[in-house]
Amino acid sequence: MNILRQNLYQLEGQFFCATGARSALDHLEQARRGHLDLDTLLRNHVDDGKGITDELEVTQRDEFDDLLHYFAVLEIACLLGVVPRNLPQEIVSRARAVLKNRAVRRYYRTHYKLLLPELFRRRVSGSGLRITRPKAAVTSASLAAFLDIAALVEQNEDVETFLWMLDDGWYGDVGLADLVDHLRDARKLGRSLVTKRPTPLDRAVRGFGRYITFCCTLDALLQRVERWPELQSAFWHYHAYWFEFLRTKTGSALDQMVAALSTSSGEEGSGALAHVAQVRGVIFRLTDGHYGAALRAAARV
Amino acid sequence: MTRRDGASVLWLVQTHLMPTKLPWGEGSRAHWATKPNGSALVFVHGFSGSAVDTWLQFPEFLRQRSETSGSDLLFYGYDSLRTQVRPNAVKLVAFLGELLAQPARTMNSTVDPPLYRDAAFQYDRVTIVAHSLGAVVARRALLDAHKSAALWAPKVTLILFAPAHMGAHLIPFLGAVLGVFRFAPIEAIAKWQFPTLAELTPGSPTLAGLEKDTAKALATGRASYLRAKAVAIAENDNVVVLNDFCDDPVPVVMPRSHVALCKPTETFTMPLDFVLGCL
Repeated sequence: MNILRQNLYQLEGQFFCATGARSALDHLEQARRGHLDLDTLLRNHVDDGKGITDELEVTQRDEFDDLLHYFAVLEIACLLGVVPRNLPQEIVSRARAVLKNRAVRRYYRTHYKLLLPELFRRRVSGSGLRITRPKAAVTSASLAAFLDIAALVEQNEDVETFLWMLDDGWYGDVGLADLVDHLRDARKLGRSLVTKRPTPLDRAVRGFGRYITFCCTLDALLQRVERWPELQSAFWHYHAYWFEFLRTKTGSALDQMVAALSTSSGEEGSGALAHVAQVRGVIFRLTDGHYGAALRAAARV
Repeated sequence: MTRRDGASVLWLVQTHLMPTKLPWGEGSRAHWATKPNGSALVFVHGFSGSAVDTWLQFPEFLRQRSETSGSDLLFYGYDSLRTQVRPNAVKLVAFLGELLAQPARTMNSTVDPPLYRDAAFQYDRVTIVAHSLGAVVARRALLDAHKSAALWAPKVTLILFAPAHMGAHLIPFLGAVLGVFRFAPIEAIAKWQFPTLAELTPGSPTLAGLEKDTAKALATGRASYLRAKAVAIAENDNVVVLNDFCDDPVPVVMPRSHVALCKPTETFTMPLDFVLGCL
């Protein structure tokens, strides 16, 4: 098996077989048979006044998110040229069936505006985008770094708890305001980091730390590939939903959390303040949207 | 292609598979060589680190160098905040034992059948690259291997970045390694007594025991792998105590901080050159 097919095989295994993506195909089949209302399942949660709280619905929507992530990573792999240019018919047929489905298309084009699945839909319809990219060893090393960094936040309970709270989710009567308050108190912070029986709030604290680490490492990768702006943009778009969310919905919440940590830094503050500025710079670059421009321009979206 | 500085860089070839999860430790990652040559590098992070962000660009660079084109690159992660050295060392030595005794099975458990490696595959040499607390965990793991007369132990070489063998200064240590949480008042956090911090106090039972056991093992003449092949320290390291440990060699000094010296970049290749020079 040549290396391009090996890469495709691995991505298929990690992002399709090992996630909820396969279950999402079952839901599509159920919808095709009239046993599932996909328009309702894949509605915009913001427009739904009550939010989406039913556990089954949340799980099913997560499975569709896994499926769209799978297509997104395949699109990145195609843009980089690390998988065969002629994808296997099974993958093409699967993608066409999913990405052309009306409810799914509304989900990723209208409700949540995800560019990479749209580009993959175009690709399997015969209009694949081509970008300027580095030489083979660099592209595969860059993609490897991208996948390692993505793994920092994927299927991590701490990060999921943090993002849930950021998205105005509650655990009982504990929410985002409690998290910010916790970050201002070093004793509570220390307890959250040390305890072996973490509460949801403790997990959110840890998840916040891990998410910031993820942001800093991703931003560093994006700056390393700045010579290839479309590649840089494609890496950013994979995570764009949360960065756009941070910019439009939570405003400066993440920045406030970083600031909360440093409100009483004391004598060691001068070095810490420099790091605060650095992290704030990272958050700003990731959320101000400029990283997304190059791929949108190339795709004429 | 050979660069002007003599480094051999592979521009046109992908030498490793895409990274996979490694089901040992926490958050561990594997970059398996597509044409393995019987060598592996195992990276072990320090306090509050992780398999990914402690080493940053190391995987990217190693994937593009001819010296490591056939080497498996394994980034081992573990709970360095809430779990003490001993249990972490036990888990690491279990992983090393599995990796070296059953290398094909180890690799094959992380990929699907078309990518399986031949059952006859064996490692000739494994290099452990450890940072800070990771050096303490790795050395204790190798002492366990020596104690159980593990047949694979002589295949191992140790390379250390800013090892914490002789202890760490608590407040600067926390301030350096806690990531975003270093912005908070460190003394207040320190009072919560991360389990490993007491162990890193200079002269602690953990460190005193490590030195005594290492010296004893080295004296047998059958545990040369317990002597580090090379050690790098940070020029202005105010975090770890810089005294020499047992028979470890004279260290190389790198002009970076305790946390940054193990992170190569395009303009700071010393850590990469340091590791490649030991292979």
